[in-house]
Amino acid sequence: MSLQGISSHGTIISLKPAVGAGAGTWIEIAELGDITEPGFTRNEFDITSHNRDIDTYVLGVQRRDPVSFPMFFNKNIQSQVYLRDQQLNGDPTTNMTNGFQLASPDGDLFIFSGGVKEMKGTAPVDGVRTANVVIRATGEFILNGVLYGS
Amino acid sequence: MPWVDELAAKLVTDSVGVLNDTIFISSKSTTPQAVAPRNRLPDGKATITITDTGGMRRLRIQNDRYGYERPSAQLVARAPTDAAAYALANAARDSLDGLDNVTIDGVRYVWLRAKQGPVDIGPDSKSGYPQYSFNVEAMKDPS
Repeated sequence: MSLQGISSHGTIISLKPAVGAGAGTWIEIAELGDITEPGFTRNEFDITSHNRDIDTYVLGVQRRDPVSFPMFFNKNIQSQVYLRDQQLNGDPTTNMTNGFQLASPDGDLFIFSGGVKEMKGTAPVDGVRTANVVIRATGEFILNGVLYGS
Repeated sequence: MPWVDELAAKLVTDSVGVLNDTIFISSKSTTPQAVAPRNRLPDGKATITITDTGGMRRLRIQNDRYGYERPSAQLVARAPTDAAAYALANAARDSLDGLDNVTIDGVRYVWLRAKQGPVDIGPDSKSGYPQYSFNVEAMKDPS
C-alpha cells in the first residue's frame, strides 16, 4: 500500500529556556490545542521588464510565519508557567531567544530559536481558561538534523 | 465507571436523594413507582432517574490521546404532585449546574452545566406521576 497522510494529533512543542527555571532542558508544553506550524515563505519581487514578453520574478530570503497555538492554561502546569516566564522575564538586550522544538507524529522535527511574542489569556464567563501563544522564530533553524539559514 | 455514577454521587453528597432509594441510574433502572403499586398512590416517593445520553466527541489536546470527555445525561424527576416533581428536579439542577474545576467522586471536572431548567415532559407511563426533566453536560477527565 502506498504511503498515506497521517493524523497530526500528538504533535508536541517543547521549550528549552535559555535562562531561569528549566534552562537547558527540553520541556514539553502541556495542554496544547490546534497548532499553526511555521509557514515557510519568501517574498516575491517582480522583475518583469520591457525586454521580456512574460512576467518574471525573483524570490527573497527564507522567512517564517510565527508558530501559534492555544493552550488550556492552568497555573499549576509547570511547562506553561515556564513559557509565560520567558515572555515576562526575557531580557530585550539578548533578544529573548529560547530553544523551541516542534515534533510531528511522523518524526518530522523542527528546531529553532525564538521568543514568546504573545501570550494572551482569555477567561470567559462560561468556558475554559485559555492562553493563545505566538512564537516568533528567528535565525537559523534545524529541520530533521539539517541546518538551514546559515 | 460510567459518568452517571459520578452525577449520582454528587446528588447524594448534596442530600438530593439516596442512591437506589430515590436516585436511580440508567433507563433500565426499576423505580419504586414501577414495581410497587402503593408507591403509585399520592404518598409515594419522589424519585429521579439519571440516563446517559452520549454527549459529544472528546476534546483532544496534543499531548494526551484521550483529552477531555464531553458527556451528557438526562435527569427525570417524578413525584405524586407536580410541585414535588418540580422541586426535586430543581434541587438536582442546583446540585449539578454551574460547577467549574471541581472533583466529583475522584474525577476532575473542568465544568459541569445544566442545559436548561426543569421541563414538564408529561406523566410517567407507569405511575402516572408528573415528570420534570433537564439535561446536563460536562467537560471532564476520563472516568
